[in-house]
Amino acid sequence: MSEKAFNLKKVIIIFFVIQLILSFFLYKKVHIGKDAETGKFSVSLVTEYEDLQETINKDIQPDRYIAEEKLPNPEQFTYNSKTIYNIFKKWFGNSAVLNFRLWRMLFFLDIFIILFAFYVRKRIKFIPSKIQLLMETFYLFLEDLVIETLGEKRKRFTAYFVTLFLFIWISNQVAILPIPGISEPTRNLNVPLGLGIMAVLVVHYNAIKKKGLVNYIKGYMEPLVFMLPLNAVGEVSKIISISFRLFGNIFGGAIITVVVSGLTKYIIVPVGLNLFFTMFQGTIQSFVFTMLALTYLSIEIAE
Amino acid sequence: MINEYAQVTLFLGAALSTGVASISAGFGEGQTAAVTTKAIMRQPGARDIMLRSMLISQAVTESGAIFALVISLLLLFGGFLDESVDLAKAFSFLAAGMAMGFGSMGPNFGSGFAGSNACDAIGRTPSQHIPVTTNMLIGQALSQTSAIFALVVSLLLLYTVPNMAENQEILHQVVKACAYFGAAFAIGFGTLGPGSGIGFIAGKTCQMIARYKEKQSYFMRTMFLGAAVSESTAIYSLVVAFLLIFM
Repeated sequence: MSEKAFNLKKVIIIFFVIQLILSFFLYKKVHIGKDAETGKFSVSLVTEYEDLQETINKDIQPDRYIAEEKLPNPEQFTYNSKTIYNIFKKWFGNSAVLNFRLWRMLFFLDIFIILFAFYVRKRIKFIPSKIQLLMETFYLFLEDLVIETLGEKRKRFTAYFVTLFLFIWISNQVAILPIPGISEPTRNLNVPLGLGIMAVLVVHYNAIKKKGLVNYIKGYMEPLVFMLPLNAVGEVSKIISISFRLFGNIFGGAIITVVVSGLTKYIIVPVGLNLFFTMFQGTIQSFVFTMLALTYLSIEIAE
Repeated sequence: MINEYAQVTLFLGAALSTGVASISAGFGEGQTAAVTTKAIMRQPGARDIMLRSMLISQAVTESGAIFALVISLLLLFGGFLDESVDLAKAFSFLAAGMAMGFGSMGPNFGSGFAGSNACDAIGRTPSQHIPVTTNMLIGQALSQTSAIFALVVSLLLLYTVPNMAENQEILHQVVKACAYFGAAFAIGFGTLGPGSGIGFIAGKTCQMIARYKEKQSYFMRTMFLGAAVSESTAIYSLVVAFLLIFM
């Protein structure tokens, strides 16, 4: 136990020291990727002089940033990945510009999670390594919760909830990396909304499967027939509550971090804010999302 | 000319949103900390567990205040200052701030109550800290559903009200402004009861789970039923707010 805690502490400290060192270069950020002029891959410190409003627009409201024509062409906004950008534009039209950053982050995260899963699976041994032990403990914790709430027979749902938790958790933690262009996908309302709709659809599919269609519809007419519209609104409010909770917390953390670090010229304060909003609040909110999806399911199908 | 009114209402809205929401958030968190201190005095051996539960509960309680801060910062930095707006839109800024500010008051108080009861329960039976903390998180999330309704109404007031309505008659503008105020009052005061009420349910459920662990699923199901019934009034006010904004 003490060994594990020590390692986690070390990782956190390394992240924050890196961030602290970077924050001392005023107005400077690390740029990793293709250089705009030479076209070669490079890692460099980029100097940025921006006022607060501009920073916020760029980070939080990219559509306004582009609409104000601060940039000659919006392609620069996507950090010079022109080829992928052009393909996206050909397929989905101009609106893809706004969502390009989100899509790229989602793509990276999906690749990362899939590779990580394969990595862990390939190295499964009878005597577990440290990473296997960590994943097993985590999996068993969620499995116990699922068995406790849904019953022994429905253990198979564990995989779904583990995936849900891991995806949301990793997307929340991404914001620790002090690299421009990397932001949490959950900051964009579309991602939590999609996850929330998915969670509620899973609930309703399983409810219909268990109760049958007629009983399922009858469930909406309780206690009286005319309560039908209000019960339906209640179901929609589940989606709203589960997705806006995640969105509000992550977006709030992001906007507060941007504003306060803009006011303090990126010295020290962002470290503490990241500690609270990204690591602490992000973990809790992903757990709350998973637990709510689990309990919505348990109301409908538990014995 | 009109734009200066817009600035006045915008600043007032931003101030009201965070200011009012912070009252109950701070109160709830303080209550949790007080109960935890007392519990640690009773059982010093379980200090780490209690401190952890206290921090988790305070972080979740704070999310209502974070929503309010988001609305304030969006009002200040969202670029609304540069646009020329009419009277109705100008008052929708104030309405958005009020909706979020008053709307997160009850939920914050309720979450604080749930958190303090959970910490008290963990202080009495530290071995049950995992089921109690899980139940506390779910209960606080349920209680904050009404704050999320307020957030949705605020975001709708900010982003769906047109900058310049087609009908620029002064009487029509005043009527529209009153409708937006009505929406803010509906969701703001409509969530006061449900938010704190669900907090009471969650707190008592945490106490009961700590005492009778084997009945956990029964308690949780009762909590959900009670929370759903209590929350229906928040849904009524959400519907009324939608009608007022879009009619």
